[in-house]
Amino acid sequence: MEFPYTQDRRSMLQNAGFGFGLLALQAMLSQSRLQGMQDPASQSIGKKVHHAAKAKSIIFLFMEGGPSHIDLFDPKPRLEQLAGQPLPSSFKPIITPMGEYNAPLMPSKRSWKQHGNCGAWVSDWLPHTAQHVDDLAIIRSCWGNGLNHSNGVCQMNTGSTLGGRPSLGSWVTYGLGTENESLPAFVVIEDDDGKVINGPRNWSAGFMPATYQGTALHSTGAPIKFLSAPNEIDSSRQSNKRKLIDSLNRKHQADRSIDTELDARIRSYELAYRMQSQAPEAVDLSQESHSTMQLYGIDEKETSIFGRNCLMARRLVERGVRFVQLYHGSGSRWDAHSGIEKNHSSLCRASDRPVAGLLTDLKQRGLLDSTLVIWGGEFGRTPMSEKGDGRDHNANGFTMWMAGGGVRGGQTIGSTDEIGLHAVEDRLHVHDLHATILHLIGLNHWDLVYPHQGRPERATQNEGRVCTKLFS
Amino acid sequence: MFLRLSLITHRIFLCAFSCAAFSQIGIGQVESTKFFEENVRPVLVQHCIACHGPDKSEAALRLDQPERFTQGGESGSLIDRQKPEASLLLQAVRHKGLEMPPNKKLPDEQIASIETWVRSGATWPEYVKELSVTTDQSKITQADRDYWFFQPLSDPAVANSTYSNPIDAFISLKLQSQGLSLGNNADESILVRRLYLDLIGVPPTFAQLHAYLQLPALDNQGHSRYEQLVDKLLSDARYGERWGRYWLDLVRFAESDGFKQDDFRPSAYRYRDYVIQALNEDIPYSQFIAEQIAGDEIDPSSDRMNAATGYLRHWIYEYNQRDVRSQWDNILNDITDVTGEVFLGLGFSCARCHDHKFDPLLQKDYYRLQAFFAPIEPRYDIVSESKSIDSRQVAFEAWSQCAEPIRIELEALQEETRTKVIEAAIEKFPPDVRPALRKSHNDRQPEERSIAVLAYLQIENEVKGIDYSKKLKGDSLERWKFLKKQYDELKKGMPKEPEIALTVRDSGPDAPELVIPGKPSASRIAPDAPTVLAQKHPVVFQDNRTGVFASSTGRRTALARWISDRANPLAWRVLVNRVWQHHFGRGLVANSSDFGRLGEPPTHPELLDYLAQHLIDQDGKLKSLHRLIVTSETYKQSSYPQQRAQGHAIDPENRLLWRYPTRRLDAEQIRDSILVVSGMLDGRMGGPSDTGDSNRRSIYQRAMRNSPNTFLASFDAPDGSASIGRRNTTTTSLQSLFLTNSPWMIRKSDSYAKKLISQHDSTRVRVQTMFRETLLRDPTEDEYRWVSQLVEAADGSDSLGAWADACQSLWNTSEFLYIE
Repeated sequence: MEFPYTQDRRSMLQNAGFGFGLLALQAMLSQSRLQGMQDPASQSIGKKVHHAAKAKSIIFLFMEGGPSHIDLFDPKPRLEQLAGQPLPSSFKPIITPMGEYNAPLMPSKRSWKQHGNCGAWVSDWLPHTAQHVDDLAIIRSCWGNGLNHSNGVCQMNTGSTLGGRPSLGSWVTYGLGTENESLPAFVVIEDDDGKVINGPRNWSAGFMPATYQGTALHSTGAPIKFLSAPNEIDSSRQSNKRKLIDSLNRKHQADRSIDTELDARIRSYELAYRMQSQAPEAVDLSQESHSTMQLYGIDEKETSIFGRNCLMARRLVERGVRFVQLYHGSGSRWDAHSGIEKNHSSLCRASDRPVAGLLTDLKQRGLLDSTLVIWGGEFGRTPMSEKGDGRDHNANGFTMWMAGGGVRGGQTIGSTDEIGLHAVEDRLHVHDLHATILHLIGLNHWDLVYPHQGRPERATQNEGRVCTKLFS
Repeated sequence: MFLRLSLITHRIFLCAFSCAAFSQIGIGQVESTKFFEENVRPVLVQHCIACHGPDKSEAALRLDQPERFTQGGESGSLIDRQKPEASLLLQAVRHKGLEMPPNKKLPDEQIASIETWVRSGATWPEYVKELSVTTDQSKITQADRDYWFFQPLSDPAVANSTYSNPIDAFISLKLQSQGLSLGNNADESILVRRLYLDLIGVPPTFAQLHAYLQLPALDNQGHSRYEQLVDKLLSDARYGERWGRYWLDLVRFAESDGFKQDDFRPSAYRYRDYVIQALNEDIPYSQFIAEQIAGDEIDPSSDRMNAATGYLRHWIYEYNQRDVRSQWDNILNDITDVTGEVFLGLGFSCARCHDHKFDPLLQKDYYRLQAFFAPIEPRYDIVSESKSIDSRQVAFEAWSQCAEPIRIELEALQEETRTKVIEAAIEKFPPDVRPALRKSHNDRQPEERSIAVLAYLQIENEVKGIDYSKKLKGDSLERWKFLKKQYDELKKGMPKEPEIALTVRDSGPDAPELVIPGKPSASRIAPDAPTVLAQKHPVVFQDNRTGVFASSTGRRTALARWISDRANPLAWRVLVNRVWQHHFGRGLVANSSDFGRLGEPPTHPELLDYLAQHLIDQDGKLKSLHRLIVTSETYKQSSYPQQRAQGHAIDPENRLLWRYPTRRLDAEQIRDSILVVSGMLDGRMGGPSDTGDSNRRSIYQRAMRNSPNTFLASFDAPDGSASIGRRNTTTTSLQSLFLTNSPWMIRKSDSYAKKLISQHDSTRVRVQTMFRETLLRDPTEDEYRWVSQLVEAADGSDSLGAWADACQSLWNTSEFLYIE
């Protein structure tokens, strides 16, 4: 297999008569030759990192709907003084989707404390996460361009507010391949029955081959769509069918050996078969101890769903899955236009312990160093109230945090203005976040190029800057 | 080299897209480069360096180089590092002390930009060594003008050759130069299957193949049976269903809005039907272009034109986007990008934010192209079928005799609330948009119109949602309830509302102002050809302002004529290359939507021009081009010719075509083929799309952007978000899982097995029938044994299931899933 990102590979990609499916499969085929080698990085199936990196996997905890940074991680005492007043003219006004232009400012009702050795501020809504602040880098100065959920979620996933570009997980998979060919490299888990806004478009490979798209994993029933046949079809029938297909295809391929694509097709059935045995095992939590289940809050009703998903994420990462994205509040449930107290109370309750459990578990298993954990939504919320007791969308300044995977914990990066409306210091655009995430997993966002319709496309649309504070 | 270069240049020209306004926010490190490029460089170039630059350096001052800028001039240093506010540069631009520019003060926002820049240290990005004053034409070099794609079509001579088809002459000449030659013809039954799938998208039935092979090789006019089959398939209506699909990929056709709501577009299918019909009618390409880009200017009363101009409505739409101005900009950008790629084969989108780094496309050229579309206004009041109103009119008049007085009174009662709701809804939009929303449509400026249309879609939603029973009080409420009940009752008998077309009109005879975003001081952009072509092939605008053109700018008509002009080399090469690509899996130019320098040069430039000229000579009718291609020896080659070892050694990628390339069927071909061989295909054409996976062809399955058909999506069918000139072809284990486990496959194989069992008794005949119907041949003895073993393994316990498994296995074979 050629090395990635050289001129040779690029022209090879463009010349390949059968496109990328062939490449991906050839890459997979070459794994068997690599498996005997000791260096774990070289097992990344013919692909390699651009620079040495600690993170091997990413778990992105996506709080869908936009959690309120000023009620969770970014306290704003000034809001107490300005409570009930309209936005002072010294602040640049923003477009609010619900259009309450003169809504009064609303202070947070939370009680705040500094936590850990680093003294990071976390509100009483996230007591369990607060115990991990010494492992977290809290970024208070994120910003993006998404006014609504659809374009916000789309941008946080793909860099663009408009659809059609590959998701970050696709870029990572394209860049690094998988470490376990029997499982998808990029896995997405939605919580509950909720459906994430924009649907599977969020984890699509955009203009890249579908080989790099995310695969939705389900916690109940077949973990992957069509993984197994309906129950009435027993395993001996399945195996007879598989053997017949294999025999017919091998005979057909025998005198057509110049078409390696036909060989790849045969392999795709073998891979599917291996996935059938490995995917159910990966999501089977019955092998986990009672104390582990407790750690994730699986023993309690409110936390059991997200707890299970977080635990599955750990199991997937252990098995070499490259990029796991967990949605919490699928279907914009964090979207507290009104009644933020009730809304955020229950969502924080449902997610806090599982998230903290995941951090604890990764750490005690020695996986946190090689796993980058990201927490955040598509945007934050306004300091202005909406409908009296809610907050509107705010992509001009919001908080995310990262932990593990080479991130220096125990620090707070950047700031918003004194009411939390705009990011001010160390402003990090979504493209900057993406550049930084790619850096942490060993990819340089300028060198990670996919040629498309004659254009060199990059994950960060030719923008983005790595935030070095995060890891130095 | 390529990567290095693009890395630097892209760092320099950051996209304006995510540019933030930061009034009270200081300039951070990241943004300083961007700020300089967007706010400082333009001012220096436009207003300063004519007098303080390379030509004249008045007062010994030059502002075109960072060193000279730092040195200052006769009056000393321009920047006071200690007290930035006292800097000479600021005194000058503020016209306090010095006055620069001397005659006219800079606009306030430009002065503010210079102030911000000076306060943050007046630093120049490291890479800027010199600002240069260039004209548009001087940005285009001789090498740009000489680039092959911008040259007129050559008239290549067909080489002397033993082949009668000119394609073979060109292809074999090139093969000979590499020591290769055309391979032997494919077996005729393979060729017939290839031709069916290629031209009409489905395989022949075994009976059709058999009947073909019984025909005499030549008919009494000397036409071969193969040529007759070509003619038959080209006049088969399924041809349009097959080749129309490629066009739908290009124009990112879908039947929903995209974004969160992903609302269904009930009349979008009419565009799909238009494309199928136009291809089946074999209309000239110039007409096909004109109907889609400017059909409303050809005949605004024509249903066909209103369907065709759906081309201008395939953009994604976000129903709750308050920033309507940005949404409209994005829509125009989308139309511009797609038009550039589809018709002109040029990737314009790079030039949206900066001059293209590799091709001679200036940022200005991007907006020149966009200017053709800037006047359009999406319409929501034009019916799809004009006859539907005529027939409805009589019934409607009768109905409204009773209903009208009630409606009038109801509306009078609702009026006050409604007005309040509208006023409140207007207040929810950004302040700069509101004034336009309070005007009547006729009073709106051209640039306000489409924005207002988008805003009113949201406002009307709010009006629709008013619950008057909660807003009205007292007697009015009682009266309202009384009338509403009556009206709702009457409404049940109201003749059905006619379907609304997905179309556009220009908002009037005057076009809106268009300037390059972020460069408000730059002059207004007028529609025109890209600079590199503008002198040789100018766009011809019409002076006629009567008829349709009394209310429409005529810009799009001019564009359509320019694109399809015989002297314009772009569109014809692009089109023949697309057709070639779909016949051979790869174009003569590999990047079929970007013929620029980032793509690859043509493998057979003379053949490309020959075919383009051929198409022009045939009045732009595609069927003649197909006929020429599929009757060539090049096309008829075997995929596994006798001398394949040699070909594989010299040209392993088969770029010179020493064999016919083996290709996986695309998503629609696979699904449609299974429907055909299982005998379940419902062949009805056209009309509204089906939901719930009907047995009609895949092109008639409803195409929702956020919830695509699982079958089609897993085999790389596009989702309608961007123009696709060539689909990816992937081979994934998820496809294998789908083809072996999905309920769809299981249902189809079950019903096929039922039919097979009921029609034939013996295992041998069943297996034979299955092979004939699926793979168009008899099984070998090995194959017969494998299948019969599988069936016997069931041992009567689940014989139907076993037969279903057997035929499903055949649908999973490479022999079925690939064309060779």
